[in-house]
Amino acid sequence: MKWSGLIILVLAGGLLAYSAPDLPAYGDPESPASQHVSPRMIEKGYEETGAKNLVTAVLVDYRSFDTLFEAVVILVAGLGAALVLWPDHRRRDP
Amino acid sequence: MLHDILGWYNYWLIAVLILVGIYGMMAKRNLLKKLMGMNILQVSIILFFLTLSPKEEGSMPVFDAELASTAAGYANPLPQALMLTAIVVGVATTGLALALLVRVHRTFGTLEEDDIMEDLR
Amino acid sequence: MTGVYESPIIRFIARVQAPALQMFALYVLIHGHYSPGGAFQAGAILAGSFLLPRIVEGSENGQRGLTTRGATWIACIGTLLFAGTGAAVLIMGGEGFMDYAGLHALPFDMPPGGATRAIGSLFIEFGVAMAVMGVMVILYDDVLARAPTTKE
Repeated sequence: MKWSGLIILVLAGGLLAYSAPDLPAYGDPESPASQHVSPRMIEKGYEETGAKNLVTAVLVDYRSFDTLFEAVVILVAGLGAALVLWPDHRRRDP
Repeated sequence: MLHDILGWYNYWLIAVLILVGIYGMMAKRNLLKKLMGMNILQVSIILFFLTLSPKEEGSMPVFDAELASTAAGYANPLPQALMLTAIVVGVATTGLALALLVRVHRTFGTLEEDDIMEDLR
Repeated sequence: MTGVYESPIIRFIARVQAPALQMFALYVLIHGHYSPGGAFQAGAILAGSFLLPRIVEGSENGQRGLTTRGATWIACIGTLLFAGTGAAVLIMGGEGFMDYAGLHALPFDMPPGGATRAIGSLFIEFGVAMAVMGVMVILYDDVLARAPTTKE
């Protein structure tokens, strides 16, 4: 088990090291992540959403659907945690 | 060669964190330590997204009237917003996993995987 | 599991600090449109203000401010407020789900353009903050506080 784990680890590390130079350099303004929709969000964000904090603008306006289901996910996780531990609680103080 | 190694230092650090997380999930026999490995892996992914965000000469993504409203003047807000939700979801799912672990510990009296497997057998 | 601190200093500081944390959370929430901050952070700070009495006075006495049941209700109501705002602006004539331009149908003088959308998204931020706060309190109460200290 230990040896197979080590082999998998070395393979994964080699894969990561092999692919790292393809990634954009730190602070590159031309990186692919900053090319597609984010220039529009930065340039029009304040005037379209009224939020100076562009992260808030993205979070609650451009991607509000994403945020809605993220709130649903944390609600379900919280209720799930409550349900998992509920029966013991009821048995403890009837 | 040296530039290849030092120029991508953020990715190297993240790769180390990813490997630590994978090792923790794979090799540890304690369920709580496995969960900690998963959290380290999660943090490494969050750091990976965040390291794509800043730009040279770019300030933080809060609109400032004195700065020109150009894309190069601000850090990319998209990965930051995505990771803000990812952190909160991570906390919630970690809480759910901890609740499950509490349940496992009440049922089996231990969190060691080997002992649990013996009990199940 | 969660110790009860008998020291009066710790109890006093916790009692004084909780309202200050709530005020700060409200500031972070409402000012999140203009400075770093926002709903998630505000929800976490708000949860901290309710977890402080639980940590200091034990999980039974600490329920004074907000019970676990209340936190569950608040989390559910927050998520409903979020979804309800989205549906309401759709019914009021928005282009789609959560298009805050539908708020212009209200019989008030709405500021033009982006400012109206900021008002709409403020409701959503309140919903998110309530959901996050409730879930944090639920998780603490269930994982830590309800665990039996003695073996059955």
